[in-house]
Amino acid sequence: MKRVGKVLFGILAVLFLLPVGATVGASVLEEGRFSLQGYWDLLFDCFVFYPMFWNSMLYAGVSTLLQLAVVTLCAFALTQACLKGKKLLFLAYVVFMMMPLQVTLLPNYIGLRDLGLLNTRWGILLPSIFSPFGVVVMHQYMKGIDGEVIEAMRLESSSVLRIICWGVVPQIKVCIFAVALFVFAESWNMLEQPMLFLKENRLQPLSVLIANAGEYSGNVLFPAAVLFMVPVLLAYLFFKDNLEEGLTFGERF
Amino acid sequence: MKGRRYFLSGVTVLFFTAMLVLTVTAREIHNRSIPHVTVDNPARTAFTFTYTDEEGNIGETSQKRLSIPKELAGQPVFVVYEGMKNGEVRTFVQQVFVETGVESEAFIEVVNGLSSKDKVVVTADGPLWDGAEVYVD
Repeated sequence: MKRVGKVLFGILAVLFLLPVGATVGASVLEEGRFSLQGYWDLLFDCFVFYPMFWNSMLYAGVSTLLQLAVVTLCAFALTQACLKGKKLLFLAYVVFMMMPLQVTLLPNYIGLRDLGLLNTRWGILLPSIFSPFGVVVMHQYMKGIDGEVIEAMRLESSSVLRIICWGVVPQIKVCIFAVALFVFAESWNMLEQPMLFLKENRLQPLSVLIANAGEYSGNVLFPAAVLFMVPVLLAYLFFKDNLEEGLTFGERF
Repeated sequence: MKGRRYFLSGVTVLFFTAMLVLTVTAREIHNRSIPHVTVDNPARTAFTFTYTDEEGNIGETSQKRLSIPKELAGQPVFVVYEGMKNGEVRTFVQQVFVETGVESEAFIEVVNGLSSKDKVVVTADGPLWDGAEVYVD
């Protein structure tokens, strides 16, 4: 039985890795022969690649940091504060999390248009800060933290921020890393928002270049896709232990 | 565990350093790999024409006509134009066929094929071909 499971897992792993392998393979092949011409075309002839790469880093990095700050405060309020209707509020978060992205795109667009933030970096950053996914995950994790530490902190300090920073954050560090990884990957991969909210090339992230790779000369699509994978892959390899631990709150408590 | 972390840190630093260096130097490297050219507008040069009037007298008149340097005669003539490539404006060359007329000491008259607004390639440090991207010095 265990052997069958291993074989099935192996087949699934191959199926999942096949597109990645095909992308890496296609990036170094030209007319069936090994060639790095695609990388040359991308790195030394497609200069929009660099601002787009750093835009992606900026959007993913800043929205991860800001979202973590917001998510930690929300999850703390939903688990520790004496709030009336917090169960209803949490239910609303879960419902929002279930909604497909396309449902919230239009309200976001209208809001950004009215605030004059279309075609600005804030147009991408602001909506991504208030994602419900992190709140739901962190809420579940925070339910199991040691309440005595928080009580002890309350006796020492009346500052909620101090309690969160010194009493809560050290206990949920693993979960923060796990959520950060998810948020980073989500922000890194976003495509619909920049295509809808941004007009200028200089503001677009790298995902847009890959989506429109046909417009660029040379075989830049596959090399761009390979380089696009690297930062998320590195982030995953750095934090994969935290990811497993941070998302196993069901078994932990 | 610690070894893996060091390895990953090394790869990350290497990757982002490479991206940073390439961000700064890629255009310069590209510019070095394409032909560098100097361009000039076709000059209006005075050419001397002989004519015969109604009474049969032969005279000379000087008229300013569009011209190119004599060295370019007999060679393919290229003009530069700007076009979009990979999301930005770049400079390319296009071969034009020039019909030439009278010659002076240094210039040759352009009868057809060029206008005064065209930028003609005067010198190039490498071979040119129709549609080649160039860097204008």
